[in-house]
Amino acid sequence: MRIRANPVRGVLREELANAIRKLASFERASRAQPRGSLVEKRIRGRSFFYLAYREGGKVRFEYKGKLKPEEVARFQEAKKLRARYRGILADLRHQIAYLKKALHERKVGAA
Amino acid sequence: MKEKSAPPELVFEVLGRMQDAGVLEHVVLVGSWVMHFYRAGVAGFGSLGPVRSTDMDLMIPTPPRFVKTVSLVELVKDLGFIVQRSRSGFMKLIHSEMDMDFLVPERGRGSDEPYRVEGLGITAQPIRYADLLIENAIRVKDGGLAVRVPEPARFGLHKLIISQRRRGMDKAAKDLRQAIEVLSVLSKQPAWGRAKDLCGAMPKGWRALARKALEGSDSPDLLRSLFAR
Repeated sequence: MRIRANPVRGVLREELANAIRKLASFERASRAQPRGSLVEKRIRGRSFFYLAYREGGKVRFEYKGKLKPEEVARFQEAKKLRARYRGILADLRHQIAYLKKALHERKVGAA
Repeated sequence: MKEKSAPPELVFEVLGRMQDAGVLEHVVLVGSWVMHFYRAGVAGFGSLGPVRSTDMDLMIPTPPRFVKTVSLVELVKDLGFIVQRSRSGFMKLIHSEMDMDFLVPERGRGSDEPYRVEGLGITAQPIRYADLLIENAIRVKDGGLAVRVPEPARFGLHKLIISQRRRGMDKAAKDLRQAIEVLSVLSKQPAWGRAKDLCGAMPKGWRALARKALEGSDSPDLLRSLFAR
């Protein structure tokens, strides 16, 4: 018997392909952001910065010294964007899992 | 299956930022989100159904008339939008919940190269039948926004035409459904005469596509009324 194409499945497949493409784009965008958070230390009234990040399960502090306000703003903006992208990546993974589940084909001959 | 939709608050945030930056008045919102603004701000269209679309399509009339240059990418970056480019060089802004597409009218067959819009810092995709859609665009107010959208008659006729040109059956069906929804409302209004005039003035090929779309639908009244001699 010839099986007719199901238009709903077509839509779901298209959505799944789109979500997978988006996921790859957001993963790239997230990786492109500078990692870590700036930690400010004040010594004798002057500000010095360290970049804190995780590496191999350990927290590392990289000395950055004095930074211009625009450099501090750049790190803060990157931190906000990374958080935003984390939320979006979680959304996309959820969408992909849902669509894959919806597209799961019944085994031929199953009762 | 229920179609997905972009959250209205995200759509409004993006349009609001464009308005504050002074660029919204130079673009025309096209695509499914137009239905929201018809429902909210055009008399008689309150009965239209809710919008179900994750795409927001913005048409930039050419030549663009932006008074100042704004980077649209920077304008919405903190909301989580990133740039995605197609192999052909077209650009869209994507988010997990909605995408923004940029379109310009195609100028002659084959002029489908990406069109650089300096005023927004984007590249747009030329599309056919766009002039029908954006000529005499109207301004609709809703939620503090003044958004330019196509005249309902043009929107309906354009949707009829493109429903016949789509490759995907689901998108074609959605276009046809929206066309019939808008034209049905319009057919009960005095503006229906304008829709019939517009239809009559369209090139023969476009009329044939619109007619074919209605012939394949379950709206014989619209077909008769729109194409009555």
